[in-house]
Amino acid sequence: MISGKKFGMAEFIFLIAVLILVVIVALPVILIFWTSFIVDGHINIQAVVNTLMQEDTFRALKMSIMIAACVTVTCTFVGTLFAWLVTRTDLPFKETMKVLFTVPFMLPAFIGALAWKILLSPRAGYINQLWMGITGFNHALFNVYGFWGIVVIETMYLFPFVFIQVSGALEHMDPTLEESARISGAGLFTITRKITIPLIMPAVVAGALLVCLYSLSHFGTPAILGTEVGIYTIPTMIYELIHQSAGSFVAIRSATVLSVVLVISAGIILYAQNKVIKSGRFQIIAGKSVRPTVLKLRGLRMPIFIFCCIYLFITVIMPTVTIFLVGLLKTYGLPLALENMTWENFRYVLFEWKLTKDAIWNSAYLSISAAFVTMIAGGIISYVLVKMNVRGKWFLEFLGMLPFSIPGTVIALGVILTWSGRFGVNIYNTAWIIFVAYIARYMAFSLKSNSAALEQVHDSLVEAARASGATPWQSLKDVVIPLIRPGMVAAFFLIFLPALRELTTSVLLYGPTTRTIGVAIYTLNEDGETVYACALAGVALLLIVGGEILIKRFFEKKRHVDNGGA
Amino acid sequence: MAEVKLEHIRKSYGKKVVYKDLNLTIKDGECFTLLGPSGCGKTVMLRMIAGFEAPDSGVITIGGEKQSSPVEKIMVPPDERSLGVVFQDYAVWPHMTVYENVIYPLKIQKVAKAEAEARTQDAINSVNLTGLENRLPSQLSGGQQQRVALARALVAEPKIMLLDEPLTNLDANLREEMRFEIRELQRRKGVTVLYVTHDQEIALAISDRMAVLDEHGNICQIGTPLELFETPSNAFVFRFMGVANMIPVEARDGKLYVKGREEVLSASAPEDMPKDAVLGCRPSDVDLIRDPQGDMPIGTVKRVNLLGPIVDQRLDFAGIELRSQIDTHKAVEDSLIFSEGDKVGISLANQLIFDARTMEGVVEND
Repeated sequence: MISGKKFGMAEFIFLIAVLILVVIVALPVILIFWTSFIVDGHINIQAVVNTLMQEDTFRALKMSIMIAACVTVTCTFVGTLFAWLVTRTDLPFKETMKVLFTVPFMLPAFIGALAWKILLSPRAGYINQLWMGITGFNHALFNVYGFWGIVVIETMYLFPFVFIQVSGALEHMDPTLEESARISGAGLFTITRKITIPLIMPAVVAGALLVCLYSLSHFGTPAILGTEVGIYTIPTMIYELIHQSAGSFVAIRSATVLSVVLVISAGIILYAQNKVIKSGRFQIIAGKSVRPTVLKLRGLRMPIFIFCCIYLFITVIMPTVTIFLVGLLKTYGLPLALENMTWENFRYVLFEWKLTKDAIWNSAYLSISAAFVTMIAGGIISYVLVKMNVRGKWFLEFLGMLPFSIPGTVIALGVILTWSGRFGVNIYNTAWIIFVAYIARYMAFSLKSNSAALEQVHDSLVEAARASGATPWQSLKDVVIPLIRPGMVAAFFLIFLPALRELTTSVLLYGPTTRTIGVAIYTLNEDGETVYACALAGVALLLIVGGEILIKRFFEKKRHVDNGGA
Repeated sequence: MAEVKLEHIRKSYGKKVVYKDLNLTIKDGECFTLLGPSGCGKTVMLRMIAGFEAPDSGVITIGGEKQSSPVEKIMVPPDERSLGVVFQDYAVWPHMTVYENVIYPLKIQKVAKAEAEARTQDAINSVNLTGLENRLPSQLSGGQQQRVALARALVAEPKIMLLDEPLTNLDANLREEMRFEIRELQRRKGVTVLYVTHDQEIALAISDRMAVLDEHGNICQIGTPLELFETPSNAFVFRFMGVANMIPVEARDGKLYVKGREEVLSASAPEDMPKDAVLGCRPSDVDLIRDPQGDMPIGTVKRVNLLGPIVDQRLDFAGIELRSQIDTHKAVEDSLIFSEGDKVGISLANQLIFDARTMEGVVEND
């Protein structure tokens, strides 16, 4: 066999990997930058500045930053507080509480926003009505429309980002660090201030930055709670610009300029997060779970427990129940009483109405197919990144980082620019464009999961196969793929579930017959079809919870099998 | 015929040159060991022979057929070299049972089912894993996994077996047992074996011939284990083959003295003594004498360790530490076990003289 031929398997795979990333991820981003900076064939910074300084865009920019800042602060506070309570105090049912505090993660924020709109809209909101009925005031208890409403609702559903990071850090922190401080005579307050807080700071900051990133690019909540009262953020502004533009170049350009702002902020945030995580790595020493010193809450134990329960009741149970109850109402606005309830809405949404039936079907096949394709593509790319030594790999490494830093709104806009005929392919208004966008949006998950799995496969396992006489393809098929299959399955579910409830990206891309579940709920709500929106949201919630349970089962069984052997 | 020949091999990683001009022949059917300190490039050589790495230049031939030759753009992939490789970290496939692991090479070669099954069972039996066929590697101990790797390398009856430190992770008893088994298998099947290790004990025990490499990847000496042990070509080989005493020496009036001192180590000095010379001898060649007489060199006993079959005694001699090892029974019989602080006479047998600057050149001095 003669080597030295220019095109072997390595080059082939490398090329495929580069091609996927360039076409799916890089091209849309490049076009966004191109459209915003190049005017009539010249770089025009002034035009970009002008666009940003326009009253509308500037207000949206300011609002986005303010909301993101406030949400980050409140989430950090709430997330850290609860994380501390479930790890470092004698709170009752700590383990259960720990799981419950992550439940808001499963709830899509826009469904939460919809529920809270129903509960707290100034006139029709059930709680506000109840309040006005009881007190006789003609002022609402709390008007959920507006800046503070958005901040509160986003906090409710984003704080788990901080909670998960910080509770993990607190659990794995070496207790001897605190004990030695205590032996040295430091009081609990001093220990907390001088030892504990500095040690968990990296986790807190990492979680906070995730919240910030998510909030900046989040569409649902500000769209439902802000647009009505004239409050726009960057993603909702982009949505408005695209929808009112009808192809107007000026509007699209404004949208791309806002997208550039999002991409750059995301890049900065992820860079900062990387730095923080790296600096924190050596600080939280013990790798395994250890029993930390527990603070006795004494007299406050029950009150704090009740407070936690109320918090969970308000953020999880109340909105979920509201969605289902309103979904059962004959007409929106009727009191929530049994005689006003009917299964009719659910039946109609599931079996009769083409719009919602289409939406469920679209979401189902789009998320499954996108998850499948992204899983495979991410596997190929990770293989090159982790296992192969080809010239020009740095280029792929750079491309591979892109998917992590592109918010959903930007991806949507990018694929519109790329796939609306500019390169001879026009799939605008078809399901294909959503499909392509999902692949770009979720590539990061696939890369993460696949790379982690591949790093576990030691090179010598492949070499042992080669030495046994297996060709590169045979060793891939017999050794590598079976070993990374769990990682690939994880990638599939990590993509499938969020894609099922996706709103931010698909809301910019849907056509008359290509609504997804998220889009359908959102547009039904916009059109005032609240009961149908809620019925569909109820269906979505059932799908999501069912899916989550299935995954948990899958991975627990897997772990069981793995441990059972040893 | 499976003679492995490496000619004028050059291999470098970036600026680090592992081999400048390597020439080595492993004869058909012999067990050849590469012995050297970690990081000297032993594994690189093995990987080049296996075809996992290409040399920068030079030619690798197996059984007369060119396998790697960059000049001619020849690079036979590992799967076409008919090899059995055992890796240092076992590389047993964790998702396959013992049986599936071992039968894999035969499946790839499309050996008929009945024959493949018989040969697999044979290989499993030969490494004493009978009864564990359906276990997964995670259910096996390190030593058992190692043996799976060995069976897998053997089953296809390769022309060449490449073993990269395959016994390092085993405990002492198992290591000895496996060392014996590898040797047995090699003799029975007549396969050419290249064994890579940094453990001189295994190398001495297992090889027909061996090569010692220094830190820079230079081959210091090639020969039978006995040759290397008895007549090392330089101080590096000498030290690598076991614990060594090194004493700076000089010749005065035809006698051999400890450098700059009055202790006489030998009544005769070799004629072609290098200017800066070092004397090397094994601890077993250091004889201790109770009640020294005349101008016999004298040392002070510092520490006495009973190591079972031998007694290890450390002495302060002429300002350096000298180790002496004597058979325990003999030491007891001749009452040669001393206590700390005792002054004892010293006599050195099998003296080897090296040039202190180059550590090259050996003169035997008796």
